[in-house]
Amino acid sequence: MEPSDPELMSQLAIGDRTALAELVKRHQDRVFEIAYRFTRNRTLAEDVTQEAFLRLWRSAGRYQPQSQFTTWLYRVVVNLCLDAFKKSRRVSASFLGPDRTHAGDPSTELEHDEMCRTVREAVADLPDRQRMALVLHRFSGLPLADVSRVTGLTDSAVESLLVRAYSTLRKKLESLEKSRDSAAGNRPEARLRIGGSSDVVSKER
Amino acid sequence: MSCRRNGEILRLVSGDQDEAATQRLHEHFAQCTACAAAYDDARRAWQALGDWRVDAAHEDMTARVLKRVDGDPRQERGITYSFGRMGLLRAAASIALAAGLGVGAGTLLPTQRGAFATSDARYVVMESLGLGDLGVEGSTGLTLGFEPEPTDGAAGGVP
Repeated sequence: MEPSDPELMSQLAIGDRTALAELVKRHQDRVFEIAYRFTRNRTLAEDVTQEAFLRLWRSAGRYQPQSQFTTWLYRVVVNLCLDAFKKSRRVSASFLGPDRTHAGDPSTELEHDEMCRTVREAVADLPDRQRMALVLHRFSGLPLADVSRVTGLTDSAVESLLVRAYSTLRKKLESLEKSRDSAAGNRPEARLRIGGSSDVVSKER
Repeated sequence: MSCRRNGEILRLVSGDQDEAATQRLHEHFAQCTACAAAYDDARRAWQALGDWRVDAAHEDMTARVLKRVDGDPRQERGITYSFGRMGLLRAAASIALAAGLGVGAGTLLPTQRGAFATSDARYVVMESLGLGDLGVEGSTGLTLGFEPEPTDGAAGGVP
């Protein structure tokens, strides 16, 4: 049976490098994704990922198994991201890396890219803490209580941040959609689903 | 919004509400335009965010991390302080300055909740990670900690 994360942390606390390697293998994808969604910079996200595991190594001796490991790890990541992003603001926007392009039908790719870019721009304009809460809530699958623990904010503060973030995002997306529509001559295929009336809420976690 | 149903609305949007709670909330939305609007915004934004695909492919970080660990001064769990030339003097001067400022602030300045909350948060995070006693930076230059943020009187002092 594979050792649990807390068991690996115990091994790490006594200097077992193989335990660190296992923890990196298990969690690097999720850590990278959080960092990338927040910073939108691949190099920076990789640096954050690396730094997070280095912090893990350094502080393993103080890890308390009663707190969930991922909550603890994500808290490290969140703090690193907030700090890294403040520094990266001095870097030009052209440094920011592109998101995924889907292979396949070119029209699908164009449609997707346009939507993706619009959403990414809207998220980028959110204040740091709103953006981080949003990434954790929407993409990391964390329940609200865990978002609070990871960010170190109260439940009501996180809820308030998220409601404001979603509200701002909707308005921003509508505005971007309108400006893109007029620029593109109202191409229907370039429209976002933001104006849709469907009641179906997909849970993409 | 005075209903204080933000959490319920968010759980509804993320699909974490049971059927009974969902029904109760929809009944409430029929009475409360503010909550209905908040729900509508959150629901539509949640849907639109589904379009934000990210290629999470990246190099395997294992080798990079282990390489950093090899060069880490705390490798053997013994804390190595390397002040370097003049570092000791700088550290002593910093401690003296911090102590002086602390006494001055404690005796001369009125209490500012925001400032204390920020420094408390920084201390708790640093301490909980075992970094409260270190000023170590990695090669990336990244450091932990919150920056003070202005409070605008909103709930929880959030922007």
